[in-house]
Amino acid sequence: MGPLARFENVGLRYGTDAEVLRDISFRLDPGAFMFLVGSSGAGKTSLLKLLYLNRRATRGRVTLFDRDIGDLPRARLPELRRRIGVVFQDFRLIDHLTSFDNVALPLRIAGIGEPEVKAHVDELLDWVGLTRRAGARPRTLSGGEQQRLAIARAVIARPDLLLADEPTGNVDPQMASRLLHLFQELNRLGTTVVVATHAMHLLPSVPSATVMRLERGEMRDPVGTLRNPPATPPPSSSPPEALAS
Amino acid sequence: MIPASIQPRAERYHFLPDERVAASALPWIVALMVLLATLGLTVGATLIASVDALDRQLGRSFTVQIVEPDPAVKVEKVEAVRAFLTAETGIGGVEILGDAELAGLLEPWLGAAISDDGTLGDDLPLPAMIDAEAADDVDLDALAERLADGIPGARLDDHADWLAPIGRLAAVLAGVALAAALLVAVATSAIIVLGVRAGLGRHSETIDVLHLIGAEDRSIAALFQYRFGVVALLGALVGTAIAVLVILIVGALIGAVGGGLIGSATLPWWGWLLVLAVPIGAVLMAMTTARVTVERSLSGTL
Repeated sequence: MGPLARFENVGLRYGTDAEVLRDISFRLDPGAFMFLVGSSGAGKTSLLKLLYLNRRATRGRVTLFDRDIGDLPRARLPELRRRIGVVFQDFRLIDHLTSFDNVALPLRIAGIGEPEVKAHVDELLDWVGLTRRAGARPRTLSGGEQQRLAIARAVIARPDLLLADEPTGNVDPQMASRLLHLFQELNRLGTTVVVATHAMHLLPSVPSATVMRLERGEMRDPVGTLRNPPATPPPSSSPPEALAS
Repeated sequence: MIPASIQPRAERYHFLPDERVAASALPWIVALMVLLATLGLTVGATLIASVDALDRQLGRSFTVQIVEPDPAVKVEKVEAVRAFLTAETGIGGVEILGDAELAGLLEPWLGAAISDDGTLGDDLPLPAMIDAEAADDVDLDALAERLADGIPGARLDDHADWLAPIGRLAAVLAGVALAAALLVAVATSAIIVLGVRAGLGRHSETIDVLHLIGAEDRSIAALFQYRFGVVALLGALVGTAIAVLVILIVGALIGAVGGGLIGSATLPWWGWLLVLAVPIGAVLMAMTTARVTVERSLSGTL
């Protein structure tokens, strides 16, 4: 089986500005867990944008799910996007929808029947502790609740690739640990996970993860693995059945 | 209220926020456009039908005019023409107009009868006139030639000289009415395009998220198509109702005028089909315009 994603000398620029990513080359194997680290402005979010097909590379070659994204017709992108779950840094929840409907969105877009949608969403809302806020609009939720909702929406459709941009930025340490554990469980079930973070203390929580460091749009230590020894094992918390099935 | 089962999925699940488009000016603009288009097409259809009816009414009738100052010779020629026409195959309804009838024809221009006996007297020599009708297969041009050769001073008039300009005028007016209806359709399309673009702008962030989650252009386009279809339907129903009311009122007023070209102006059956086709066309056009506009706008994004 080939890599799930492969970047070859990829560059990205917005408009006529200087490149925000330069000569990025790496491969992401199916089932991998990768931390993408770097300071603010290093290019983590831009690299994620290439991965979740929000942008095409301005040079180099990006291959995702064995398809060359540079040559892929626009009409073929939605089917790939449905295989990718994204936790955006700013959550990007849809304000006019309830928590339930926000989480249900990927399933409804994929054309899943309502009974199945309801069962899965109920279970996932319960898992992220938002059952009682199922009917609430995102703007009435706290930052942490919004983040959990965004994560629930990202994982509800059991994506092949889960991308999370600072997913633990607005939650307490206990919830951060729990969410990271969810990512690990999804990873164990076959989902490839990429977590962009500048919270270096999270890295020991996932001993098997690889680490890719970005500095000013360039990769440093492209094949580096986690150097810190694993910390204490994360608290046990089973993922929802909907994700395990 | 439209049942959810026939709504597109994106509408049923409120991918974009509900908007009270029906409370905006758009349905009223569509209603006005439908009203104008319907009235334009109705005028065109009525004109065409009226001229067609006049043509059918007068097209096979003709008049033979005999210009002869000598009354005795005129009487002889009238008899000769009657004999000529009666002998012709496919000619019927030969009728010689009497002096009183001729005076009646001239009365609108010359006033009441000049002489005491109800005629114009001998001071104003009048041509003799003979009306007749020809069957469809009779060649009137050939008949006119034979008549002129056989009876000098007799001239056949098949009304083409004055009917042709009326037909041309009606055709031009009908063309203008059709062009006006098409322009109204183009203007309506342009308004729909602006409305759709405004909607895309308002919801650009949500549409962006929907895209990133895997929504296809066609599901977003279906939502806009549905919403603008509903708006157009609402406007089209109002516009058509007003148009039908106007047509019925004007029809009643024309009917009160009586005979003649104006009095015969009624909307033909196919004109009523046009009246029905306008709102259907408006709704289909609004839906198509909305879909194409969304797909074209989104095709510029990734």
